Amino acid sequence: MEKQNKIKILLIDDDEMIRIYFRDIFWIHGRNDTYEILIASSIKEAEEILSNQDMKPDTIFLDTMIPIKNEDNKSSVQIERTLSFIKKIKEDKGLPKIKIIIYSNQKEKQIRDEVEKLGVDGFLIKGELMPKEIIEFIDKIHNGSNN
Amino acid sequence: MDQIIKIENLNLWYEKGKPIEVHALKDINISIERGDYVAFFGPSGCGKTSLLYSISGIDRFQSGKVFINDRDISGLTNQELAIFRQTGIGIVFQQFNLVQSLNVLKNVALPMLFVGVTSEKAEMEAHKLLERLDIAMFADRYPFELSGGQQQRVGIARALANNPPIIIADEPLGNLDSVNAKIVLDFLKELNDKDGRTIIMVTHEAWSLRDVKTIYNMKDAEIMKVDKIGTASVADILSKQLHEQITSMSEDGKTNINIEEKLSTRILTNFLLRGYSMDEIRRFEYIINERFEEKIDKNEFHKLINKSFKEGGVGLWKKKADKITIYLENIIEKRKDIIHILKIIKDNPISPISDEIRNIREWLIEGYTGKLSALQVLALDEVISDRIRNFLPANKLVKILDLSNNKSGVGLSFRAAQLMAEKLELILNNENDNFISSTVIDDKSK
Repeated sequence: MEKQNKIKILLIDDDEMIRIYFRDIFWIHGRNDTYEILIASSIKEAEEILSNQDMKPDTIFLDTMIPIKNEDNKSSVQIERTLSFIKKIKEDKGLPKIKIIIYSNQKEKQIRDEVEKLGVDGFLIKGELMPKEIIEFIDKIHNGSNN
Repeated sequence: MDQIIKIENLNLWYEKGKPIEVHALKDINISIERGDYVAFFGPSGCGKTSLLYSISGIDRFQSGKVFINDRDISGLTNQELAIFRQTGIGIVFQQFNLVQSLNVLKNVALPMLFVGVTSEKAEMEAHKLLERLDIAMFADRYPFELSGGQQQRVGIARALANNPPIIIADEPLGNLDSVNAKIVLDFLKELNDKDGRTIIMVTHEAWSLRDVKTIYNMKDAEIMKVDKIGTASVADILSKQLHEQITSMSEDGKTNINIEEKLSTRILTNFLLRGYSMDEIRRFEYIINERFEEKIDKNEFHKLINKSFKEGGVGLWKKKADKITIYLENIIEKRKDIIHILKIIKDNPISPISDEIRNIREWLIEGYTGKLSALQVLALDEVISDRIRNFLPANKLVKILDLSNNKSGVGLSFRAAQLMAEKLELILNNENDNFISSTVIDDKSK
């Protein structure tokens, strides 16, 4: 599959090992011909990717607990920042219909309810998926593109 | 099929630049297709394990490239390598390498924990794998409470833990008896056939090549030859004759076990008593087979068994090689006699074959130091005739030869009955080729 025809998946996670793991399981299982995996360590970095027309993802995998660097250079986790990011994408008519999947270890019902209210397309717990199950899940939501 | 692994100009040295430098892999160039079942085959020290561990990202090579799904793993960071090893490759070890302080379930779940799977999910998946390997009943046991065969099945379940597309088996049968070796081979075949996984096995044992589709023959750190296996192939010859005959299912399960035990014990006894290694005995079996199938002639056979093991031979001394060659040629000649007799019987089942039987009998009693009475000779001829006509099954032969003359037997000593029965079976049936190596080595190495 040509690069421009690949399905683009963007993972946003501050944990480097998770980013490598997520990206490389597609390579390891020989699925790089179908999917192009983009990675971002922060919402800011993700927004830069989204602003580039050529890099617009088809699906975003997003952790709910992403630390944000404050003005004093210290990090803090602000769920509001994640929620506003989701809201922005869902409300932006200029963005193609991007699917948003929450990919987190956060099991708290309140958070789940809040993101679901915003219309996310899935809620996955990281530790409950085997490596290949992540690929199978994506194959399923991009029905027909799996091989 | 597309390539899953491509290796270009791979060179690996151990202790490079030091006086003890070893050039373990020399200019290796190979491509392995997705879904292939590959063996790196060759004697100890030929570099096959180094090649296996270079592909797995365990051995860091000094020059060349190893591509997995078109990505060169020599450029991976340590973190990327760790992910690749944990999710891309499942390794089955000869020594099982289980964690002794963890029970079976936790041993299988362990690789899943390394990639962040919760212990609850990991144990659930581990349990499914144990069920697949038919060892779920041992989930709570510790490795030291299991037999070698059971431990190896745990080892396979663990290798499958993160569902890797490539399974690497490093001499996986080395510590198993033939029954368990067959179970492991069957399972590797299933992983290849049903799951579509790419299997790479390192072995120096010809009979473990049974289901392999591609053989990379290695020697002195290089790949000497690549065999793509078709239907009537090396693998068929090697495995069906050297292994499946031993473990083949007969209608009578009991007989099967007896044959198997008998052969294994014999090979093992030869190994222990005569100083021949299992490799040498297996090599010997293979060369004998080549001669029976007339792929090599008498002179080539002699040359091969006389050649050193390193050069592809068995390493027998010249005098012993001379004796064995004569012995084997004798058997081949007698086989021709049997084929002739069988043709006569086929044409006319009631044909008298007394002359032919006498010839066989005289050959059988060559070297027999006892004295046979006229009655015993008659009884022996009758037994030979019945056996050739298949009125007498192979497993009754020793008994009838040993049974006293007045009980319709031949009245030989048990040892003489055994030797004569083996000798007769050697010429009767190709299915009994396995007897040959043990008999020849046993008799001629004295």
